[in-house]
Amino acid sequence: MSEDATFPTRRDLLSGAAICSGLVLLAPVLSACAPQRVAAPPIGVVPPRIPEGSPDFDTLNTLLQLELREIALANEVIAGERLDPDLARLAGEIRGHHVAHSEALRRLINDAGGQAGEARERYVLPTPLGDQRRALSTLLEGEIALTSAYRNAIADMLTLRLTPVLSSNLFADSTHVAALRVALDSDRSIVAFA
Amino acid sequence: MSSAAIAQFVAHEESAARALSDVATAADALAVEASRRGDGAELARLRSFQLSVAALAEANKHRAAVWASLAAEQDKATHSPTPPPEFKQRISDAASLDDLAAVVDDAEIGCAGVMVRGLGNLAGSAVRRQVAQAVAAIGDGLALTRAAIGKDPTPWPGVPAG
Repeated sequence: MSEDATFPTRRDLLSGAAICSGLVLLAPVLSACAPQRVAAPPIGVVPPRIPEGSPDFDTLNTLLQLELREIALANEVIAGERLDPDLARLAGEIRGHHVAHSEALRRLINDAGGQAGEARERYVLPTPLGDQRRALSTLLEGEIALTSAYRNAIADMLTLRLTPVLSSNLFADSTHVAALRVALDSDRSIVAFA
Repeated sequence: MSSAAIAQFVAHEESAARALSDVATAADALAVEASRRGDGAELARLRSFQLSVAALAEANKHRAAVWASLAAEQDKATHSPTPPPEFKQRISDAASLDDLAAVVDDAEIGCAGVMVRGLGNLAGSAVRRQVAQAVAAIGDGLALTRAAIGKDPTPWPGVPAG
């Protein structure tokens, strides 16, 4: 059986992103809150030039939009003032990481000879987010979608030198998934492969 | 090239599993101390920590076996991986749960780090997916372990340089 038959393709990844952004109502985005800035992930590569028209640009821009959407979602969660202080701090930290990831992706795309997509004026988000539990569950769904997109991208990427940056982001996003599961008192089992 | 990267994964996973086993033993000694002092809260933290560390060590052993078998499938060349860091001295010097937790962080991040760096040398899509799943599991397991003892589960925006 070929790998293409076994694993999601680049098209699957892109359509997954489309489903993600096609959820419910409109909500204000990035301009609503100034995102917390943190250092970019420390592991990086000297970005290679990617051939013009390579599907890697689409994959990277898809990841960038998913990161930007998660920032918008975290902004909504925080702006709702529905969170306990510790959970608001967690949401803020998660947002800060996504800001760093989106900046790293943007640099990667531009340095590789592509054109990074801009943040949309508005993202389609499942608002209103409701109470604390629902808001955190929604944030968790976004994190799970992101980790899934990163795993697919790492498997599909043609330019292998880009994969360290993607996997470094994946590591951080996986800590978000775990932290949100703890906050929601959900499954805490530790596994060898996630 | 691929199997050299994977041999490095095996070395780090095995090293982390050994370190975590030593950490669990050291945590036992701290638990005896906490019990003697009647410090129930610290005892509970130590017990939660031990449970998480045991699960992390099992995950390390499981992945080490998977990587070893993968390397054997890829080619028969013998690779001598760079030795992973030793944690014995730090563990024997550890005076608190926080000291032990720092060892767990470093051992697991060491594993994630070699995988993140090694990915750029792995040509097969299926192997890259499996390594990505391992990196995700390490992040997830580390965050759960930190949360179990009341530490910030998400301090890293990416894999820290090892």
